[in-house]
Amino acid sequence: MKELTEFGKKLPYQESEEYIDDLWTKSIDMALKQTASPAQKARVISLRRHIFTAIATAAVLILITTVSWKFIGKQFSDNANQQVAVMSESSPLDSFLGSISDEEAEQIHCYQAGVVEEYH
Amino acid sequence: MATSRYSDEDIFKMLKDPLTKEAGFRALIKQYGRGLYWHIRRTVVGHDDAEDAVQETSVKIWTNLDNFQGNASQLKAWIYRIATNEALQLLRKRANFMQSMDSIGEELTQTLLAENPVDGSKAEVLLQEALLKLPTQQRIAFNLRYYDELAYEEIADITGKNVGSLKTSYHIAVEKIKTYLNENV
Repeated sequence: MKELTEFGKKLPYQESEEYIDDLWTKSIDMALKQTASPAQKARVISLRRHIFTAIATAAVLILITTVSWKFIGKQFSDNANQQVAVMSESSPLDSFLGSISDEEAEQIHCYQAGVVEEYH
Repeated sequence: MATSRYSDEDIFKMLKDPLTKEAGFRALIKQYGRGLYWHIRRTVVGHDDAEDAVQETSVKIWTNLDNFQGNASQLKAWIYRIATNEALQLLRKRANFMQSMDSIGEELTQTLLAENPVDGSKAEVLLQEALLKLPTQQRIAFNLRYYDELAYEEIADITGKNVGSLKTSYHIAVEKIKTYLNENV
């Protein structure tokens, strides 16, 4: 009867130790590349959260700045318009002079203020 | 990738520290990679299938390192369990819809002979043919005991069977193999 020991422990496969080592090295690299460890995942999530927070903060700041700028700008604009309106608003004298004819203006121009006797 | 200079305790500590985890993973594979490859190869038989199972094993070990609850002395059994599961998973995929995993032995024998056309009559091929007649779980347990020379307790950790049934299973396997060899030599 044949005993197992007569067959030894040699396997009928040809792969060298170098091949096996190389296969594991490639497999390890692939595993590391394919799947981040939980610690790495946590770092990625944390980084994403920071980026999101920064973007959201920047967006809010831009929005606030834009609204503020428009509001302040409108205020400036209104003030300026009012000032221009005030400045451009004609005096009663100008209005009066603007409303009279050339002849009337001539008469006014010819008017010589004399001395009013009764006040002397 | 010769044997690692680290002890299991060193590797265990490295794996627990996020800064040295990757180095620990590489050291672990350096320590047990070759034995693990042959365990996978003996289970799936085919060269390409062994490559696939090695890659899957590598991914599973890395992604589950944080879930490992054992101590340093259980690391080896843990990675062998992952490798065994991945090899079995691959065999399940190879089996037809109506085929049980134990009946895949004939196909694996064809793969064995196809990959060893010149040395097909050698004793080691004959021994592998005899092994492929065994039910898959029995074959795995036999391989771990005979080739890897693991203790029954370690095999129990890997396969999830109890030591008593493993001993019985091993002796039954030996008798079946001897019978096959005597009929075919």
